[in-house]
Amino acid sequence: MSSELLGVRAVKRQRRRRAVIESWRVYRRNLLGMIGLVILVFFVAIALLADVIVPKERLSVTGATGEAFAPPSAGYPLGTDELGRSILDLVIQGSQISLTVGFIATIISMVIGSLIGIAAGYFEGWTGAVLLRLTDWFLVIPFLPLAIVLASLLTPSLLVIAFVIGITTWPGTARLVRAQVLSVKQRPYVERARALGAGDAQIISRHILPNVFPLIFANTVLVVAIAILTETTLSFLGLGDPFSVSWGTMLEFAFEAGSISLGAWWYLVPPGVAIVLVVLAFTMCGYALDEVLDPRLRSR
Amino acid sequence: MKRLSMVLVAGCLLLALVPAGLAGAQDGGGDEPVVFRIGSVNDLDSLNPFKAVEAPSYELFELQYSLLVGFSQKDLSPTPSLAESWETSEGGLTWTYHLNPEAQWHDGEPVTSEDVKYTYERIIEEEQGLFIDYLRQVETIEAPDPETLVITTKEPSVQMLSIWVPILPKHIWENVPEDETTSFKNDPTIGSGPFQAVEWRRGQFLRLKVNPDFYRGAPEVDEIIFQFYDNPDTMVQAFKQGEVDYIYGLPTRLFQSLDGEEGVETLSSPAPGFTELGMNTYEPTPEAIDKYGAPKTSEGHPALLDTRVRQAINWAIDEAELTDKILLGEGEVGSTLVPPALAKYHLELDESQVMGFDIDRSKELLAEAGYKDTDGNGVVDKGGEDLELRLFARSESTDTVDAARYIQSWLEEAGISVSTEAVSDNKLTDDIYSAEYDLFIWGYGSDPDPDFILSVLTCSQFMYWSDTFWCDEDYQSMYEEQKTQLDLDQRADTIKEMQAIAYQASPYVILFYDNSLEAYRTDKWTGWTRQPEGTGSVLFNFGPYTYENLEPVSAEGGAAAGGTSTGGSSPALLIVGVIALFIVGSGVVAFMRKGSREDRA
Repeated sequence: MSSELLGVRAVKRQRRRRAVIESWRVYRRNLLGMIGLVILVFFVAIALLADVIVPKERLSVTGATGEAFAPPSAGYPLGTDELGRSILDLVIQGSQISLTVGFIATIISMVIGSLIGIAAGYFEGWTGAVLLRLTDWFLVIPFLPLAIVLASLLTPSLLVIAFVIGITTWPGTARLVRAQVLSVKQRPYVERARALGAGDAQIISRHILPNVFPLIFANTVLVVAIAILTETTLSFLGLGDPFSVSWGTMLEFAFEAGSISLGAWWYLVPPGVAIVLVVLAFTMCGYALDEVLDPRLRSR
Repeated sequence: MKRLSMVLVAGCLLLALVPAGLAGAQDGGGDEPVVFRIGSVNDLDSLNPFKAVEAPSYELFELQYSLLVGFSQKDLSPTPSLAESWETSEGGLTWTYHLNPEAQWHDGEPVTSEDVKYTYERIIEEEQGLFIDYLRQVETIEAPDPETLVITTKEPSVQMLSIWVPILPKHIWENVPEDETTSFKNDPTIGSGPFQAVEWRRGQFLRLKVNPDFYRGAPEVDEIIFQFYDNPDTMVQAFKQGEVDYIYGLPTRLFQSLDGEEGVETLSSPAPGFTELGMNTYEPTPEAIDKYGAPKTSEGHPALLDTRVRQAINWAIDEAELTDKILLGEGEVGSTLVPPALAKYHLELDESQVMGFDIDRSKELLAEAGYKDTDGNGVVDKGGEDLELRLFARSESTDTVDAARYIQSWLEEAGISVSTEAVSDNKLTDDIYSAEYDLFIWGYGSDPDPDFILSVLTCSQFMYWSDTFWCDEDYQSMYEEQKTQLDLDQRADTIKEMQAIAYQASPYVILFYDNSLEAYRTDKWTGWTRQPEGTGSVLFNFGPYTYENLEPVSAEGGAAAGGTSTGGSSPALLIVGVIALFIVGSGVVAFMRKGSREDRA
C-alpha cells in the first residue's frame, strides 16, 4: 500500500519536473523573455549585495566626501547629489528599497487578489456576489488618487507604501482569477471529486488552486512592474519616506533640488534608467511567461 | 509671525494632475491693465486673518488691509497707516490715535475708529490666539468720534505702535457669529488696503485688483496675480521665460543659478526668522492642564527634561556646517532666539558661551546626566534602556529633511539613537499639541518687534505658539517686564538676558537664520523697494511699499514680454521627458497586458 502511494508521488514529481523543464525550454526560445530575465537577475543581485558593494556609511551625509552637484568623474562615475554623495552609491542602495517595496506590495496584492478571486468564483450566491461587487467597486475607484490619499493619511514608511500599493492593485488580479476559477469549476474532475464527497476546502486546495496557480504566477510578474512604478510615482510626489533611499525618492530629491534648471542630468538619468530597465524586464518576463503557460499565444 | 513654509505642499502636487486650465488666462479687456505677477510655490491657507498662518496669506493681508500704525520702509519704525498721527499721555497709559479721514473700505464705506475698536475688542473678547499677545495690555478702547481712537493700557507698554493686527470692517464682521470667527470664508474680502482680492483658486492663482480710492493714492499697478507652482524648478523656468515678474522662497542652489541672468536681479537679504530644532520639555502640571488645556500626559522622552541632555544635543550639532551645506552661505549660523536682523535686540554670544560642535563635550554631558554606554552597543543607556529619540522633519521642506539627516548622524556619533520621520505640517502641529514628539525641525518668522518671537517660549503660549512646552519662571517674568520697559536700552538688556537663559536651557537649538531669497525682473519693472532700506527684502516684508512704487519700465516692454518665449528647452529636460515617456509607456504595456488577459479569460 505505502509503496504504491510512494510510486504515485514519484510519478507526480517526475511529471511536474518534466513540465518545468518543458516550460523552461519554451521560455528559453523567447528572446525578449531571456533579455528580461538577465536584466532582472542583474538587478536582484545588486539589490541583494547592496550592503556589501556600498556600505550604509557611504550614504551618511556627514561623511559625504564629494562636492555638491559634481558631474561624473573618475571618483564619482555618476556624479554627486546636492549633499555631495555619490549617485552610483545611491542608485545601488536605492535598488534595495525599490525592489523590496515592489515585491512586498505584489505579495499583498496577489494574496488579497487570489483569495477574493477564488472565493468569488467558487462560491455562488451571496458570498460570490458580494465579493464580486467589492472587487468591481475597488476596480472603478481611480487608482492613483486613492493611493495618494491613503499614502498621505498614513505616515510615510516603506511598509505603508507597500501596503498602499498592495491594496490598490488587487482587484485586477481578483477578476482574472475569478474568471479562471469559474471555468475550472465546471470541469468534470471537479464534479467527480465532489461526487466522491470532497469538501470545499479539499476541492479548492487540490483542484482549483493548482489550476489557477500558473495564471497567478504570470500575473504576479506583471504586478511587480506596476508596483515598482507606483512606488516611484508616490515617492516622486513626495508621499514616500524621504529618509529611505529609493529610485523614486532620488528622483524627487533631484527635482526638488532643481536638477533640471541646473542641468544636473546625472542626478535624474541613472534612477530613471534603472526604473525603466527593471519595469521593462518584468514586463518582458511576463510576456514570455504568458506564452509558456498559454499555448494559444505561441504562434505569435 | 507666521510659520515659514517654504517648499511645496504635497497636496498641491495632487492638483498638478488636474489640468491647470484657467490659470494665466487672465489678461483681459481692451485697455491692457498693468499686471504684476508673483510666482510662489506656497499657496495661501485662508483669506480669513483669524485662521491663516502661511506666509502668502500674510502678504495678502498686507495688501488687503491696513494696520493702525505701519512699519516704515526705511527702518521699520512706526509710520502713519490708518492712523495719521498719535500721541501718548504722560506716563504712557493713554494712547490717542487720529485716523485718516480719507480712508475707505473697498465697498465705499468710510473707515472709522469704531472699526478699529471693534476689531481689537473682538480679538480680546474671543481670546484669538494668533493676535491676542499684541493686545493683552489693553484696558479700554474708546471711539469718541469717527476719527479718534483712545486706548488705555493696564501698564505702560512699548507695544502700542507695533500691533500687527489687520483692521477689519465692522459692518461685515459684526454679522459673523463668534463660533464662526475662524471658519468664516471672508470672500469677497473687504479691506482698506491698496489692493483687493477678487479671485482665489486654490493651487492655481490669486488675483487682486487695485483700490482706486486708496487713501495714500492708487498705485500704478492695476492687477496683481499670485501664480502658484507645484515645484520650484517649474517656477524658475516660468520666471526665466518672463511669465512671472517676481519669485521667492526657492532652494538656494536654484537661486544662485539665476545669478547673472539678463534683466534679472537676485536678492538675498537677512530675514527676521530662523529654523530650529525644537525639543519636547513638557512636564504635565495641574496648572498647564487646567489653565492652558495642555495634554494630561507627555509622550516625550523623559531625558529631554534634563537640561544637560538638551545641552548635549546642542553640543553635538554643527550649526556652521548646516548653514554652509544647506543654505550654501545664504544665511547666518544660528545661535539665539531673536534674529540678528533685529540688531538692537539680538544677543551676540561670547566665544566662551557658545555651545559649538564638540562630540566629546556632548558625551560628557550625557554621562553627567547618567547616560553612559554600559552595554557597548554604541548607544548610551540609563537603567538598562537605550536613549532613543524620534526626530520629525517637515515633508513640505527638503531643507528640514536634509538638516535631519545631518543631525541624526551627529547625535548617533554622540551615542543617541535617532529615528527620523518626515511628517506634514498638519500632523506635526497635532503631534506637538498632544505632546507626542521628542525632536522636530521647523521655523519661525519674527515681527519687527521682538515681542512675538520671545512669546513663543513663554508658558502663557502653551497650546498657541509654544511648541516645546518649555516654561521658565525667570524668562516668563522678564517677558512681562520687557513689555512695559519704555526705555528701549533697558528693554534690550532684559531681552538679551532672556535669550541667554533660553540658550543655556536649550529648548530650541537655533540651526540657522535663513536669508530671504528673491529674484525679480528689472527689465520690466522699476520701483523695487527694500524694507528696511538697503538690507531688507523687496516683497514679503512689513509693508506694501514695493507694490505702491512699482512701474512698468516702458509701455511696450511690459505688454510684449509674454510673446517672446525662448522655446529652447535644455537637453536635461528632454532626457527627463524621454524617461517619463518610457515609464508611462512600460506602465501602459503592463496594464494592457493585464487587460487583454482579462478579455480572454
